[in-house]
Amino acid sequence: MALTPPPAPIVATLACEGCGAPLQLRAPGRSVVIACGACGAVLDAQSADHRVVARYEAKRTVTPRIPLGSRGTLKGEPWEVIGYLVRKTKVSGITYSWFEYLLHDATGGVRWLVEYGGHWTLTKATAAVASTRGEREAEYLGERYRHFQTATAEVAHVVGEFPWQVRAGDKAVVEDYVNPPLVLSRERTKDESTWSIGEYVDGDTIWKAFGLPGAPPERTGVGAAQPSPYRPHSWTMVRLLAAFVGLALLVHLSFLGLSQQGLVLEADWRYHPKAPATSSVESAPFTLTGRTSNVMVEISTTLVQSWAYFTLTLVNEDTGAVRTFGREVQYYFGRDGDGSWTEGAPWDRAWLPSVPAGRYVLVVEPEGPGPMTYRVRLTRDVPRPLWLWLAVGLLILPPLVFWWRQWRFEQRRWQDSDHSRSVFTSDDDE
Amino acid sequence: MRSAPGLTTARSTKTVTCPACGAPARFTSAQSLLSVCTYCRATLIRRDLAVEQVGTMAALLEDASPLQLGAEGSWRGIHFAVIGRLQVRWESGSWNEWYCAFDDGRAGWLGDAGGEYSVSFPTSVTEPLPAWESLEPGARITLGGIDYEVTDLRQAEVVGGEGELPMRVEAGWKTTSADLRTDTARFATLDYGDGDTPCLYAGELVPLEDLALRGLREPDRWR
Repeated sequence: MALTPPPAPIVATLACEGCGAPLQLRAPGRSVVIACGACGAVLDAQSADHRVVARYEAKRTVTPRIPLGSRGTLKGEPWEVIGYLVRKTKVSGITYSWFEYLLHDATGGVRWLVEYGGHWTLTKATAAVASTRGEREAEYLGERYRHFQTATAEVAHVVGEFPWQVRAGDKAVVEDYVNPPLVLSRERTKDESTWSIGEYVDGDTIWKAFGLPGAPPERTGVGAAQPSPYRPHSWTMVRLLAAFVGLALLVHLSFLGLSQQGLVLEADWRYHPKAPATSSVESAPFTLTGRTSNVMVEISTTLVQSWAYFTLTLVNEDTGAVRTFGREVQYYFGRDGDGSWTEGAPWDRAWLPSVPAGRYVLVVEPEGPGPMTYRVRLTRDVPRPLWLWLAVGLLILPPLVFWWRQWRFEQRRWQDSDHSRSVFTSDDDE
Repeated sequence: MRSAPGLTTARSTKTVTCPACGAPARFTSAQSLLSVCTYCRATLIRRDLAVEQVGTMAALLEDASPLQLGAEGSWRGIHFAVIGRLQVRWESGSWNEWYCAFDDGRAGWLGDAGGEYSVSFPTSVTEPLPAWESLEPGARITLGGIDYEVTDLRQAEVVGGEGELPMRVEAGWKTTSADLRTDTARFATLDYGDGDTPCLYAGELVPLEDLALRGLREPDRWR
């Protein structure tokens, strides 16, 4: 805040030729017309007699939310509000209105503050023209903008002064292209084609800048140029995910490297349901070494169109501790109306966790309808990839939620555009 | 209307005496054809060694342009002085074309419309210039190998002039012009005057601060 108040604005006061209401001319010399908000008369601001040059029907007094004459600093530059337009467009029978405030500065610079649904943009005319690429894209100063909407805008109300002849009922075709927080617009009339560029501004920022009482109008939906709160973090999310997955992979690989993965038992047995001696076999003793870790148990069989159930018991010969577990192997295949099918496999793999070091024997008790030969392999200390997959699955959850929200946000932005459906395929393209 | 053929001529300030009031009047640029007396607004035209009063210039509209006669600046490193002014009025307002003498001997125009400034010079191109009727806002045309967009079509009327100008000017003269722009802020005007053959002025749009102007009017407003 400046310590000394700025000098009072030089204003010329005049009475409306239409209704006698007092009007203030804030940019004498620059303004071409001044419109009375009370009666809808548009006066010539340049002639001494301020004759009425146009008149529109004002059913009620139009009161801008930001009063004319308000002054404030936006983006580091001081501005004064001198004019106000209500514009409207009709899309499939529904009338939409938005509000445009004309700002000027001491050197004749001009900006627009545009409000629609509580979303604001600070807009200025561009010196260069933008180039359109087909109907869906425009390029300006090397940046690309996606087409948002094309509508015929009509001036519904005019209040205050303007450096050109503005009239209620004036029509222009407005094309908007967005690249949040920027919006590039083209307005075409029968004699003009002008480009302007606007930047999204928070209502609160404007209220603070102009020292307005109360709160800015509530925001509805997502504004066309409203910056996505997700977008700046999108890459961070990808990087974080990549980092954590990489870390999980590293942990898995280091476990792989540190683990013994030593084959401690490999035995072949035969089973016949009618030979009782084959229904319980015992392996030669073997030794498990190292820290307490897992044992991978693999059973491969000669089963075809059949099943077998194995009860396996790991007996610690030193302590007498016993671990018993069961595995089922079944393998069927065939061909039906849908083609060939298979079910199960003639082999099985399981992990027995937390097995201490010691001397062991394995007792195998198979059951099944037919004869088979089978091989049992025990491998000490094999890291399970399951943990890696679990970790990746959990790690991907937060980004998935994030991307879903980001997608929803863009959906809401584009639902008011001419392209509310096409967003599904090209939501985030650069 | 703004026809000023001949691109480069040496500067040769010449002071004459206004035949109407006796005040000194100047012809700074050799390309200046007309000078408006600062004191009595007599319109003076140079004829060989003498000057002749051909009329009286109408008063200009009071506007808020920061420019004025005698202001100096620099464009692309070339110093220039504002020596004349043409004020034009159209349906929706007025603008100024400031006639400037550049130190490289050229004379050009500094356009001042609605807070946008342009510098342009009379230019000839190999392409045929389009007919007025064929122009449409938003259309693209190529002139001098440059791809322009038609941004503005307007019919206007001369309010008046002051200082030196390269052509005869009278209040009320009608003029028709089209403004063109490129995507790199190049700028051109096709001036159809009141005839069919347009004159082309080509240049660029420049932010006022890039012109390093001195001798501007004191802003009579806040800030």
